[in-house]
Amino acid sequence: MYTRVTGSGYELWIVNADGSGATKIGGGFDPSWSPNADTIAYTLDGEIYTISSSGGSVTKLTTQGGDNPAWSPDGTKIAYAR
Amino acid sequence: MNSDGSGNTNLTSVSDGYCSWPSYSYDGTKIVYIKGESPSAPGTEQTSSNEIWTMGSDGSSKQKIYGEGNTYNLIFQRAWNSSDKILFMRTAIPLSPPDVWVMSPDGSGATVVLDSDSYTYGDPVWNNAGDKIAIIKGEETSQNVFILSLP
Repeated sequence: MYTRVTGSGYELWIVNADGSGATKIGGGFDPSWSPNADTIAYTLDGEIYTISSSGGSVTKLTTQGGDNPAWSPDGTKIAYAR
Repeated sequence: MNSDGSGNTNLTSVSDGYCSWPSYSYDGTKIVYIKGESPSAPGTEQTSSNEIWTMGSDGSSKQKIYGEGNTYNLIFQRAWNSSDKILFMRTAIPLSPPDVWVMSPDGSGATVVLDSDSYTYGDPVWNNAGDKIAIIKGEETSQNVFILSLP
């Protein structure tokens, strides 16, 4: 997973470990895989969101600011800076 | 916070200074983070050093583990592997492309594993086995992702 910077902002992309199959899943940066790889936490416009690693629905987790999301190893918590 | 956004809990406070870039230990009992000046806005010069600290995942037992005076340090996600090695980047001030380092959780044994040389590296992250890192390597007109084995 990586962030691609474009003229219109930041994009989140997933790629296989051999470099094949690059797929855009949405906008944002600071992406962080959940331990089970089902979900990605990321930063967009100063707030933290999650999205399924297959794309799809987005959940906004913070409303008072946040960045640098980091999953706990058991997947129950997300540490972040605010 | 919980992974659904509920249960926000402050682990650091104003009295702790500017804290950012948290990353859990492999077993989840500790968090390593950066304490110090916030990153400068693009186009401005970083003038203040910062430090690397650890704390319990409940915010207890805050401890400075690394800070070499006139240096600026960076912690990224998945910085702490199963062999208890913390991956970080370090550069002197005024800033130059940072080198990649590893150290033990008490700050001992800090060692350069990748010299920036003529390239700019960024965002290193351990693989699950903790024996390789994925890292961005920037060159004059592009940047790409590489995998590097570590001893």
